[in-house]
Amino acid sequence: MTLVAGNKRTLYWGLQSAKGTPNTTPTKAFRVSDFTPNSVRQTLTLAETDASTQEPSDVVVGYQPGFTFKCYLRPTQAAFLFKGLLGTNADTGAGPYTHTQSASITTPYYTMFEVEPTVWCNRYDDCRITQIQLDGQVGGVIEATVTVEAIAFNGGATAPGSPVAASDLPYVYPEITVTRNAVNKGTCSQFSIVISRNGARAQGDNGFSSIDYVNGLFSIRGQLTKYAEDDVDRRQVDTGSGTGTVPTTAIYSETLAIKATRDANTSINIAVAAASYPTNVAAVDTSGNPLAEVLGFRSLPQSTLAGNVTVTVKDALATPES
Amino acid sequence: MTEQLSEQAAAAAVTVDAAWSFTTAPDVNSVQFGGDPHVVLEAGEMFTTSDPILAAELAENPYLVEVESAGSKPRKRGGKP
Repeated sequence: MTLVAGNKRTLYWGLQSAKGTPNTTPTKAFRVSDFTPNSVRQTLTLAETDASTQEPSDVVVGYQPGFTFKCYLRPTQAAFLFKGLLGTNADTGAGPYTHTQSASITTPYYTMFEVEPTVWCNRYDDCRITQIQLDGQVGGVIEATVTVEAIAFNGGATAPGSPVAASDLPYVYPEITVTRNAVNKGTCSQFSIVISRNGARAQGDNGFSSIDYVNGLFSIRGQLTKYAEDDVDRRQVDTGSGTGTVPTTAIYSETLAIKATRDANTSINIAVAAASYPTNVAAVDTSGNPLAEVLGFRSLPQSTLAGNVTVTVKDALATPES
Repeated sequence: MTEQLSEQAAAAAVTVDAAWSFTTAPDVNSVQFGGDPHVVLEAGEMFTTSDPILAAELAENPYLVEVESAGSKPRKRGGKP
């Protein structure tokens, strides 16, 4: 019996040309800090009598593979993740390359190998990235929580031997700028942003597997923690204007950009076209620390889906999958 | 793959009311979109579709230029449906 250390889990990803066509030659490998699979099989416990008083049987009523994983946001993997979530990607430049990404209704499918080296390999086919949450705060590393839904599951798969997991250093909070209405004041100490497709599995009379995962309501929500220096952000929440004195029907919105910059050739910028701030909580801090406001934000709908958010990634990779 | 898609789209265009063609802007290395199939267009490459929803989405992409259309048009770039 050979036991192994618990810190070896690696996720290997390959872009599929179409649904139902697995790509068994992955091009990206992710280190993870957490991996939580869904129950591959959906089961029910029967609700019926038993003359001998025993609990009824279980039945399998569907297959719903999927998983959530956490990883640090690395420059060489940012474009890959957000292309999968948003759907449209354009590559320009020649070292650095710029990947300009926007949301579209349909998004690509991936094959993902969950590898516990020498122990197991599970292959998930027809994966769609359905949500990415980025978190960052002063003194920390930028973390990504990625939610994925798959159509097919294969246990006992052959583990891929390559590529090597990315080793470039992840983005850290000092590399972050939060720019609101084109102004970066440098007073933001924490951010969280969740971009979600809010889709659903389409399950029909086609057997145990889902027909597809269909993207639904595109939404961006999150929060910013910033030091309070004036009443503008409170008045915009309460009145609809940063200079308002009485409540109005106006919904204040502004451009919001959360950017991580390593250097001139390495960055990721998440530009929300119109962020509104429904909430502002500025709790009393009896410890005497600087007064902080926690702004909740959401993205307002635009004339087109593609105009809702633009993610721009600069790196040394010709394509997001490189 | 793109050739296959073009052939499929061309074949479909015979039997449907409208087809739209898009090509990549000249300063773009490649553009990728869609899920099934996942389409990759190299610089200057053309893509034709008869799917009005996909065509409307593509019309919003600043890195694609609509070069030809037949029948009813997808909504204008940046416009409302």
